[in-house]
Amino acid sequence: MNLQINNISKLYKGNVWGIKNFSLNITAGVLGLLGPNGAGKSTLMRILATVTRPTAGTVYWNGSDLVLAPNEVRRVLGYLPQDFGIYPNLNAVEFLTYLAAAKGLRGRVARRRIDQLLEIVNMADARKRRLGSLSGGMKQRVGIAQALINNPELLIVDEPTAGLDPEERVRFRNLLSELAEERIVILSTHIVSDVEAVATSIALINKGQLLVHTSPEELLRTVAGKTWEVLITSGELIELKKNYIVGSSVKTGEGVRARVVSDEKPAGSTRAIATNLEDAYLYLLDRARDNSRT
Amino acid sequence: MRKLEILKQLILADFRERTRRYSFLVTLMAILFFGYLVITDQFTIRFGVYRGIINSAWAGTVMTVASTIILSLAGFYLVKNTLSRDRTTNVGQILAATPLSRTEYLTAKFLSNFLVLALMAAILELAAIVMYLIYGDGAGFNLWHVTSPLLFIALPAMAFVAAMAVAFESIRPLSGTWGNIIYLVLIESIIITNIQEITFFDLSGVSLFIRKGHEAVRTLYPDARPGVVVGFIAFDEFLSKNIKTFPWHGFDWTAAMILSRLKWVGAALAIVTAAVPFFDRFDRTKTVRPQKQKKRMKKNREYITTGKTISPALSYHQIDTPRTCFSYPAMLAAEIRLMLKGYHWFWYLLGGAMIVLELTLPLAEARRFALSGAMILPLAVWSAMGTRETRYNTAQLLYSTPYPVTRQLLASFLAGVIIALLMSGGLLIRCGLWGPSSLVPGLLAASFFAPALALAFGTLSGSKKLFEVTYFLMWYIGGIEGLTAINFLATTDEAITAGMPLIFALISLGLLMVAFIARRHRVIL
Repeated sequence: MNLQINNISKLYKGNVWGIKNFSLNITAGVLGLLGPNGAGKSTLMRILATVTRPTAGTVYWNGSDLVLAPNEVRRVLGYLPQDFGIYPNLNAVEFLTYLAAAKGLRGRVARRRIDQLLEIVNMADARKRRLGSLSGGMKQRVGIAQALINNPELLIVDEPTAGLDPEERVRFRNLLSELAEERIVILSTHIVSDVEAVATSIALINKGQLLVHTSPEELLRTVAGKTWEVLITSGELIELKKNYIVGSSVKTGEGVRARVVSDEKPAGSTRAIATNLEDAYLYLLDRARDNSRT
Repeated sequence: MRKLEILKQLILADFRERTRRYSFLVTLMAILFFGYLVITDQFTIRFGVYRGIINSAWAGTVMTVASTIILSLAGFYLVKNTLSRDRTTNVGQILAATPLSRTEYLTAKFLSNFLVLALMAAILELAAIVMYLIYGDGAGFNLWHVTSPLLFIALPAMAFVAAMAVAFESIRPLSGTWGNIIYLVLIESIIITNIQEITFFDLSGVSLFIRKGHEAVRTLYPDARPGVVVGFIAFDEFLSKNIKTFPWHGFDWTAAMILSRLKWVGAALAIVTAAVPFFDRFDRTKTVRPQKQKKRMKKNREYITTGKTISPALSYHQIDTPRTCFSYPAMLAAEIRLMLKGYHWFWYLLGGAMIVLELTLPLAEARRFALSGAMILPLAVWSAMGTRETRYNTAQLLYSTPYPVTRQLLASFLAGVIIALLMSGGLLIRCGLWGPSSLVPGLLAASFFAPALALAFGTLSGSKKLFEVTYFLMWYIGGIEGLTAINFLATTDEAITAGMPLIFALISLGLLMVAFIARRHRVIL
């Protein structure tokens, strides 16, 4: 099972590059695609899901070209777009039956699969409610179920946890971990904690270009010993943000405790703390911005 | 002042959004083409064989009246999408949460509609100047003769159309397919009565033009009995070759005439005001009757209490691995279910009644009325074909499934055909079993033509309106009135003798090919 992306680019109208000279080799597991808004994550996802064509470059699914033979990957594809619609007059079962038919599932097999998936995404009790009357989070869960309907070998999910409550988010992360063992899962998000929980590898993307593709452990190693907690006054926070990457800040009785990522230890009341993926993400993005400036 | 500023910003944003769309460019091209038709005298207004000498007054008046007739019809469908766009883009929800009142919002939408239509009318007025420059009599150009019809004829009519579009979008039962049809019937009736010189509802100014024009003709030809021709005359040899000209000096605008035109502006303001209470402010949640509410609350409570904890009852590994094997019958069944969902029970009842009438009425009535009735009922069902994916934003989900064109689009077409066959089923069974069997090919051709037209127009335009208006006109003029050339239902013997079933079967094939090519282009890969 292999998805080979070779030097792809996508040029939009107005000479805007959605993605540029992007290459990546993806094997079974969960690939967390991280990047700021407008980084090109959704463009990449749409290309991989065969709903848009790259301007240049090639993508191969198990050796078959996505542009020349898109139906090869569509047969085994599960795709949850970032922004998708539903048919408001259908209920969840009818909507999933419709998409199951389009993906080649029929009759009893489809019905059983739909019942089981609705159970998994915790929608069994709302299975007969009109989709138009469901909340955003519930529609998102129906979207997750449709992506899994054909037991995909390649699962592409774009911001899948948007609109889900914390409990459903945890449930979805658990589901993704389960799925990862025997397929390629590409999870695009800007929520670092989602990636941290499930990803077996991470691709960091900015301005349409791949910054780094590595394991979460390796990514953490790049910022090891570079995360600090600084105790400052509220007034000093603005100055600190000007000079350092500040991940988070919490107001306490003693002052503000700010989480700083820096090669050098910041001055003042500072102590080294354990690094997490968010620190690595901020650090690498900042470094990329510095490089593009120079 | 603050309110005026808010209105200005709303109108500007809406106007910019519309004019930056690709579809606006296409509309502009269509408008320019229409201007060309009028300039070259292919589409015109004449009083029988009498035509005004082409001076600035004639060019301005003909262009204004002709464009007002066209924009009164087509303009409505061009601008009747501003509220629905705010609904689908969720901008409406954001606006609903601001202090903006319903009156302010609808007024802004009305003015924005008006601005778009006025721009189109003004562009056509420029075409009138071009007409004068090319074919003019050389006498001096009079700007007032060109601008005064725009000011007093076109703009009040455009205000009325803009207001109607806002009202139809605000009143829910009128916001869909049937609203489009009702408007078409209403405006067609107004225009036809205006041409017959009934002047009170003279929206396009054509009645006024005919009255004043006839007076001008009789000044030069006292014995003349001028008629009136509105539309395409290029193929009418007699009219093209026998032209008598007369001097037309434009309207002598009196206060009474101006007032009679300004009544359309008054009507427009009244319509927008009347629409305000119907506008739901983007909240389409229905009020539930107490009995129903109890039932629903119980249902919701059950849902809340039975909601599972973080660990689901099933894990993904425990569930069956499905084997995929595409089946057309399954896809077709799913398409039919999707198409027929969401209609009022009365709609199904009416459909059933039409089929029974097809079986029981005398053959001539069954063909003309029961079949025609049965074939207009699924208008909304067919018009959703080819546009549903765009309208509900499901395109990405469907286009990432295997063979989205040959599987889903073909299934959608076949589902449309099955519904058409069902609706004409009564007559089909009757003719098949007891004759005359010569009617069967016509019924089959009609059942292919309606969904093929819907699919082609839907995939090409991305909107339901083009199909709805075209189909309705063909259904009425061809099916009910019996005009052979467009009688796709073959409701008359003349249509069968003329071979219309075969012609429409071939057209259906062509339309289907167009739909497939258009969808392939949209699917991209």
